[in-house]
Amino acid sequence: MAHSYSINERHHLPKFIDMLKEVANIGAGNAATALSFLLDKKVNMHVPSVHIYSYQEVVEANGNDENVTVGGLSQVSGSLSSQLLLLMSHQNVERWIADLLQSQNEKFSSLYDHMEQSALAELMNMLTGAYASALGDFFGEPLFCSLPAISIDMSAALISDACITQSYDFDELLVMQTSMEIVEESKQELCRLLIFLDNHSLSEILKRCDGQI
Amino acid sequence: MNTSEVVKVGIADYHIVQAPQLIRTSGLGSCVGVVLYDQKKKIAGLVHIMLPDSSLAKSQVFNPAKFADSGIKHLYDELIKSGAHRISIMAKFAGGAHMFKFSSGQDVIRIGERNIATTERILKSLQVEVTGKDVGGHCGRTIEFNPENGKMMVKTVNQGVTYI
Repeated sequence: MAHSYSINERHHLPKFIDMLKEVANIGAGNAATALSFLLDKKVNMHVPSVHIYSYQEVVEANGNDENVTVGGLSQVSGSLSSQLLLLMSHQNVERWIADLLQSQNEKFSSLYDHMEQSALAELMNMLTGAYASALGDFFGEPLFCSLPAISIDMSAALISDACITQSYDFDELLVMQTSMEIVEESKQELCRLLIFLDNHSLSEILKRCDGQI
Repeated sequence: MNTSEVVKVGIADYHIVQAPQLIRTSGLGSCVGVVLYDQKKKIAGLVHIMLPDSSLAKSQVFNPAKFADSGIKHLYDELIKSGAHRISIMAKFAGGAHMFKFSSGQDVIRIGERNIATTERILKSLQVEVTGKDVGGHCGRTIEFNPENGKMMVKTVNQGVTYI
């Protein structure tokens, strides 16, 4: 009999955390490969973590809340729906985009300019798309990933907005998180992927994992 | 030297302070930070709300500070319990931005705008005068209120610091 899982059923969670980590690993692994290809550098990925956080805890777990951060938010839809938030440091992104544009003989001016924004959207789209398509392959069902909407602002504002639609249901939310770094560059964090799962999607993932992992 | 204690309010939370304490919440996106204060008693409360309407809560038991309607009413009652005079309570609020603009128009749920509208409606129903606000747009805000002089600092990434 198909069981419906819920974030509120705390006692079920410990045994499913490992399954969710595995799922996150598949998605993030694919995204890291895409990133490595794009930057032509060796990218290291951390083992994903899965947490149940209050809204304040999600923000606090991601550093200084007023840090200016580059965020790309994609909505994953299909048999699973979730919010995929990609966070990158301002300095890293500037450097990347400058490199990327230089190889196209374009001059970098500011992250807020049209050309730079478009390059940034493309970059983020590759990462979020790689993540979603790996998950889709794993479940054998296509998942759709919207073009990321980009915002450069305080990290707390970006994170709280990414998960706000889920706050109607609960005071806590399930977050799958992974970070990546470039190996040669003194392991400086490159980007961080946060997935916010709603109750329905959590239940769907766990149902599919039963017997698969 | 200014060594005022700053009380920090988290998401979906509230606190009440007395001068010389300051009260602050950071990284408001579509969330709204609402300050209710009594200038004579130099007492102020701040609630960091996420969503407009508690009737949309899917569970029976919910945290009142998460919603504009329940959060503001709750703060109002608590402020009176802490000694504020009903008729002297005034309000300042900020936030309600729209952080992520989706190109394909998928952003049907403009929560920020609805948070602002509900905040205004609730304050009106409580007959609380609004003495200042900084809302909407596309930028995150950090606010800090000083009950000593009734000034609210608003900080954004691009415009720096302003006082309302």
